[in-house]
Amino acid sequence: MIPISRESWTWRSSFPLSANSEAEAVTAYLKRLQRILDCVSQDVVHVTPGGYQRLGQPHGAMLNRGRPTRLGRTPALLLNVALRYVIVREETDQRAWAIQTVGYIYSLRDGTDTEFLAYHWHPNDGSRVRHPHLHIRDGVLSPASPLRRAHVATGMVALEDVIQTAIEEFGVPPRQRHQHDWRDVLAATRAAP
Amino acid sequence: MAAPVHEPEANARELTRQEGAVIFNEAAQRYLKMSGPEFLRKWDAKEFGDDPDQPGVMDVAFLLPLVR
Repeated sequence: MIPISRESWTWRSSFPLSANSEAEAVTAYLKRLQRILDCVSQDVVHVTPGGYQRLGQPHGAMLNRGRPTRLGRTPALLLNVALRYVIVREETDQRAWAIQTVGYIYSLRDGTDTEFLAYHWHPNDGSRVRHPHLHIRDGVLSPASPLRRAHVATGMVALEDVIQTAIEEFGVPPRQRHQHDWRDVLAATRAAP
Repeated sequence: MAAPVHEPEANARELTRQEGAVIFNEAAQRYLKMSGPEFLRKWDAKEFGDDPDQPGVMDVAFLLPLVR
């Protein structure tokens, strides 16, 4: 089970001596993200300059060069994925490296590119809301609806959950190559150390 | 037996500083109709109000490691 607390969430990818570099830790982290996203999109994950090195410095990872990526055909849904991560030394093995996710934005947008659901966790970006939360911005909400400005508290939301929601609740078709195994892919990435 | 888990088709890639600046500028234009440098100025001056968790603002702020 992923260790979770309100203020920090650690997603560790640790390696034995044969893979003891920052770059290998980041590569494994990004491969995992790419594997999850591959279920619904062929777009590529990019990392910010210097993202394979520099211990302790926040880096960014994003799908499709930071642009919402189109899922499915008609009506299309758009997905925006951006994460913050840092490279750290493993607490239990100083020869190994780990990656900690320290923030995320996962948002779903309708065919007119209007955001209607946004899962946020940005504890270090100046917002008064430091815990993971959900924005509901559906256009059908009345102007007076308190939901328009609400930060609805959530637990940590895994990218796998967002992809599963897109498929099961919003009718996004899995890619042809994952039509029959997308659940297995998401189960495997969820279970990975 | 579980179906085999495919490897992803694409591989992640690191952006250059130049690419990062272009993407950051595009995002500021897309979400907030302003340039990247204008966003940076407003962000540093805290001109987005008490809470920057507003539609579009946090989306662009999350891309700050592209340019800083």
